[in-house]
Amino acid sequence: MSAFEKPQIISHIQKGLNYTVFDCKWVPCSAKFVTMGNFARGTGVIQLYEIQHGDLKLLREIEKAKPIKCGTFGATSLQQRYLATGDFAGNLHIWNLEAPETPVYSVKGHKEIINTIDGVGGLGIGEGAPEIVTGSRDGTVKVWDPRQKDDPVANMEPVQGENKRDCWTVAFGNAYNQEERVVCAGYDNGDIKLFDLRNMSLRWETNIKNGVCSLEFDRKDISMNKLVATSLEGKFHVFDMRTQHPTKGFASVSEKAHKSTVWQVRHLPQNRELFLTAGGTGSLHLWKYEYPIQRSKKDSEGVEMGVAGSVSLLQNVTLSTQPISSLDWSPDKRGLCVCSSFDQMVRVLIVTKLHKI
Amino acid sequence: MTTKDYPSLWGFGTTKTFKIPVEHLDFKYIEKCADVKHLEKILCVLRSGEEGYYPELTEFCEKRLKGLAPGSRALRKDKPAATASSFTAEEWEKIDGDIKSWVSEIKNEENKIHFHEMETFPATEGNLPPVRGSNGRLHVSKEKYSNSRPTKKKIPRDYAEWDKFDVEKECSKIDEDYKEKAVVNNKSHLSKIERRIDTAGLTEKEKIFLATREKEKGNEAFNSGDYEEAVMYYTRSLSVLPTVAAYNNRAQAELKLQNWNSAFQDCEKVLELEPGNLKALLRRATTYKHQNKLQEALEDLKKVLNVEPDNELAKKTSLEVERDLKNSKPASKTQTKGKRMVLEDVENSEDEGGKDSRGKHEDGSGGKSKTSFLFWLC
Repeated sequence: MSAFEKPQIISHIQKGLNYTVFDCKWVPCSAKFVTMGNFARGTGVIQLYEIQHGDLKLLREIEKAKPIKCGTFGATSLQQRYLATGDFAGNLHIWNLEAPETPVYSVKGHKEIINTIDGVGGLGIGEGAPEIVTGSRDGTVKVWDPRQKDDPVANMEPVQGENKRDCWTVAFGNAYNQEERVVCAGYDNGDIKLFDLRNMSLRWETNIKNGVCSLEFDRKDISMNKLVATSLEGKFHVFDMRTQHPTKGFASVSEKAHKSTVWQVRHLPQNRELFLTAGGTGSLHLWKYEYPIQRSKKDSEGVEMGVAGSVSLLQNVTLSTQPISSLDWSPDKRGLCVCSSFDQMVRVLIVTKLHKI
Repeated sequence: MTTKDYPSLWGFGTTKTFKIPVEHLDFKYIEKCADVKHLEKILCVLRSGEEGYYPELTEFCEKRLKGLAPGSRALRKDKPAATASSFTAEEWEKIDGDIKSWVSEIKNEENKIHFHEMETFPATEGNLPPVRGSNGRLHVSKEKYSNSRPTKKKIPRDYAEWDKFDVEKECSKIDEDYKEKAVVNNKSHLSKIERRIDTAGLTEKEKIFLATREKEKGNEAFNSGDYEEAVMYYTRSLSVLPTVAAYNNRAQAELKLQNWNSAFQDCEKVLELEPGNLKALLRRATTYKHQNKLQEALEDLKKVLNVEPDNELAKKTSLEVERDLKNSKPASKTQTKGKRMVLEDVENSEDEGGKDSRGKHEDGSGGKSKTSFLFWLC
């Protein structure tokens, strides 16, 4: 039994909740995390838990009018640690968890549910202004600066009359200096669009045939390196984002996993080549990306094009019979992870031996 | 074997799924079969139980497949998460203790941050760039980048506008103000990363945090072969907080780039901060070797071998240097051509902080993030 050289995924603490939980996030620089969701009576809830003596202690419960779908600490400072959330009614709120009665920022950002949110420029991750991006069922993707009230600083929406697609996932990336920044958005029809915020242009788009459930850059704060996109039909794609070919775009490798929807992908903050995917059957898969010997080559016309690497499965476990709705690595402790699932459970996981990979 | 042993097995010639001849569901056949795809199918049929339930044969087939293709998807099984009982008592104690001590550590740290809250808050606000698209205070902050910010365009409102995106026009436009191309240059980002990080108003803790993160970025870049980028991030890390680990890692990246002099300088810095650091001695020996200072190289290598007589790299390098010395009709290099495998390591966060150079150097147990084999042109 002890000859485990592979990383092991340990279910360290689990706790049943009395509401549907959609998202969970570690509070930076702490042993606390927040869960966000929906009470059966139709209201929204944010709970703050802390690990204490190998158990979870509920520190705070905040009830709000609308169910809360998603949240991020990505645009806040380490000192403030304000939580930005998106709710079923399309509201973007920023909360001070110490004084959550009224939001410190509030805007009716979208006409319909905010499915997804991401932040950059806070926590010392990503240079430049703190910004939040939201993606909604109303088809739009909007970028917000908490210093500007009421209006987004960028808005990406389809032309009037054109079919609007449900945006399921957004991710910031490429924030390696003060000017550069991209937003990547995934839609229910399999579209992936990469928006360059510096030039305000659509830099790249592709379609992976199935709804895009989750997108994440391996790191937000370096020149874009890799992007993982997971899909409804049990596949995920890893794009090498360093080399863009004028017609072929970015090279990618795809892999089947979970035998069902891959709901989430999250890269290990301490090692960008490792990532966890979470599946519709309650399973977690830990992957490693390996680079090819040459990351780019010249095509027949001498134009540089990327070469994709390969992914290998390091470990997989099944935690639940229900889909895992969210997943978050602790930014402070390597291998510590929290996940929520639709059986109304939240679990703290430990993944061992990650430093040896 | 069991009652589930359907007559179909004998009645029909092939299995229902995949149409595999039934004879293939057999120890002898599986033992000889080397076709991974076919074995996967056989395994799938065996597991489904549609041709009957044969636990031993299934296991045998799994083993065979594992031998041929350890990475095969068919071998992935649903497993429950590990628990305390999956480990030996000592292992579990270590894992559990590690988390417990981290929890108490981070709580302390968190309390300290709260204590500092009032003081640090204004400083962070002041450094921020202006709100995107707000023309107002573009020049308020005095940072030099504010001038190079792109002219604020109207925000595109819809996809149609992006469809109208005229590549050529856009190219020429971009060419005017930046030497950037529509096709992304692989290395162009390097010149646009700030080499220094502004640390005004940061607490010591925050500096450590920042320096560690930049160093980790450097390590990741190093491990993916982007040595220039690695040097950049180590430089950023050093600009926040000079550490032995970051200097040492930058030296290694400089060696990769064959910047012998820069590597030498970094080794010197390490040895200044921590005399007798083995990695730095070893790396400095390499720079000496390539600059044909063979005597100096030998001295460094001797120091390493005194502490670590079994250090493979040191042994190998000193053999080479000695041979070079013998051959040296002054500075005539008759080194082995081709590529040489070299053991190297990049230190991770556990390794920093100038603990004395540990004994176990190359066996990967000394808190190494990575011990990798890479090619190194001699």
